[in-house]
Amino acid sequence: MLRWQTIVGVLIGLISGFTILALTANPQIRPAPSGPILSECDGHLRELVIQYEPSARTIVAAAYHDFLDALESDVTVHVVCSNRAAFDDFATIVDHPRCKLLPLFVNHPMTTWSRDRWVALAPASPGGPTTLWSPRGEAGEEIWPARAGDERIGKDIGAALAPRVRARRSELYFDGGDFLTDSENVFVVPRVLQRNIQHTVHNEQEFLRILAADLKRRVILLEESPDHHAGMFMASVGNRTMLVGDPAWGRRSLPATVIDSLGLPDGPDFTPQTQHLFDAVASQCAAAGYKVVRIPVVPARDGRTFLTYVNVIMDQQGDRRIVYLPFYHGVDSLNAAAREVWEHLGYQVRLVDCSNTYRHFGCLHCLVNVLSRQACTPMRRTVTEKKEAMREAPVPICRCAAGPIH
Amino acid sequence: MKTKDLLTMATVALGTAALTVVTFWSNRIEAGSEGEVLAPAMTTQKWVSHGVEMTLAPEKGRGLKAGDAPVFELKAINRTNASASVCVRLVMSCSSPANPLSRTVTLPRVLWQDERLLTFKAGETQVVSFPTQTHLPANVEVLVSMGEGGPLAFGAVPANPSAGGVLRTVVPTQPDIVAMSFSTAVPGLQSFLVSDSGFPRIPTLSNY
Repeated sequence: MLRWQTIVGVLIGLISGFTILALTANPQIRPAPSGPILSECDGHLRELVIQYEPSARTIVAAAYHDFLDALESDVTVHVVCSNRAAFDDFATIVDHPRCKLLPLFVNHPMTTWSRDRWVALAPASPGGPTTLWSPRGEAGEEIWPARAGDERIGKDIGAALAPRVRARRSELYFDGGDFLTDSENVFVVPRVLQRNIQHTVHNEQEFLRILAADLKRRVILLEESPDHHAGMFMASVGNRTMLVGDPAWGRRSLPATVIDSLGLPDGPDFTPQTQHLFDAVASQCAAAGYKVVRIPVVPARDGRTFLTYVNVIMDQQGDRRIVYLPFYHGVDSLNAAAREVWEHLGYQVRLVDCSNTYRHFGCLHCLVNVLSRQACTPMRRTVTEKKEAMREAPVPICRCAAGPIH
Repeated sequence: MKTKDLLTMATVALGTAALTVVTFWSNRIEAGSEGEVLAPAMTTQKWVSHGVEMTLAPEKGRGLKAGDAPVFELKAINRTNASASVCVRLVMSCSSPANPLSRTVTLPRVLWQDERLLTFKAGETQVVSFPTQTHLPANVEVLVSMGEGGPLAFGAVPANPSAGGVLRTVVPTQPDIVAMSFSTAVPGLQSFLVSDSGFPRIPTLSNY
């Protein structure tokens, strides 16, 4: 039988123990609340992040030059470089752009692909920090030293831009490019599930629950898709409209001689199997309630090299929607067909030369990550004005307001 | 109150406090922010189909390196109290960076695959050997995936094969899993090549 001294001792011990835990709790180790993952099509671009590695100069020089030159003056671009010499080299690429360029030195190797390193989660409340959500680890880091350096980029940026930006590492393995996000949904490519199941999660339900909790959007896991990052074959353009690549259209747009002259690795891939994968994405988007619009694409048989026109950066400036659209030398008819699709959607097109970029399995969207956007609110217009505006731009008309997107 | 009572209370209080702190210290570390300890990744990848639990490991737990021809051991336990049949498919594939500048690794290339129909009595455990007779290339990441093969992949399985032809709908199983992954990285080996056309020259198995 317990004596009263023991009972009192246990009570005192419990109170003391929990007091110690409360007093020593470090707020830094508790994940701060974060808002939803940033939409890739809504809101005005405010802060971007690119990575620059001098050995990749030939791959990115033209793309960075065209893109940065076309950006507005109110956009800040953080240029992540290994060191000062790398930034000096980068500075020779650009030609006095209007946007603000800020170097960020990390002192370790890295690649030049910013998109896959992290995804930005908006502040949970106005004035709160933006969260950079980095994957648990990078694919191939054991055989790829630069990729091991990439794993640290989220933390580097968080440290440099604290306290308004903070880094957080996910329990899950992913590449940032595995997600395709708008203001309602996050589309996730199937391979992310396979990377995680029985490694970080027990089953699909647990995987979806973690994603939904962290990204705070409805998660749509694609059952079938090309084995590549989502931004290589699809783009959500707002107003529940999804652009999906169409290899058959790519084939129709280019004479066979032109396609051959590109020297795509193992040749172009217009097989029924590959066409089926693109079509399957279109079907799944339609089933999710999206209006699907197709756009030409030419995939290569290596499964990685795509001449794609959905790997874009989108901006919203008041009434205008702008797309920074890749183009490729030697395929003018393909470029024109793709441009027409975007213009038909109401986008103003700003072209970016990605002729040397796509050969390395990525394009503009893969090079540029978005740290913050400014929220846009619908404009108040008369019925006549609305009809007029919609005739010009089928996507919703918005006006940018102060403050980050939530 | 005597000194002995106070001493008893103090001793019990100290012990309880220490136990409380130790017990709850680790629980408050939630997965999430930088600098904290993430929950460890699962060390054993388990694939379950129709109540049969399967795990894969290299034969005798051997480490695998470039040049080896792996032999895998599949350990399968029928956790149900009825007989069961499972068609299991193993696929070993490899990928590597095309060059140090590329965005992602190459599309995985299948090195070897095999598919077996396994039949179990209630509660039976089997260890099945899968010799690959395929030599591992150097400087690649190797994935071995495990999943449903044969007719099971199409969603139906004989409920009782001896009864002949009676089909039942398969209870959804988990999707294919990466049962094993390892690298055959060789320190100092430069495997990155760029062709004259500017395209990365993707290392093929013949390059090794």
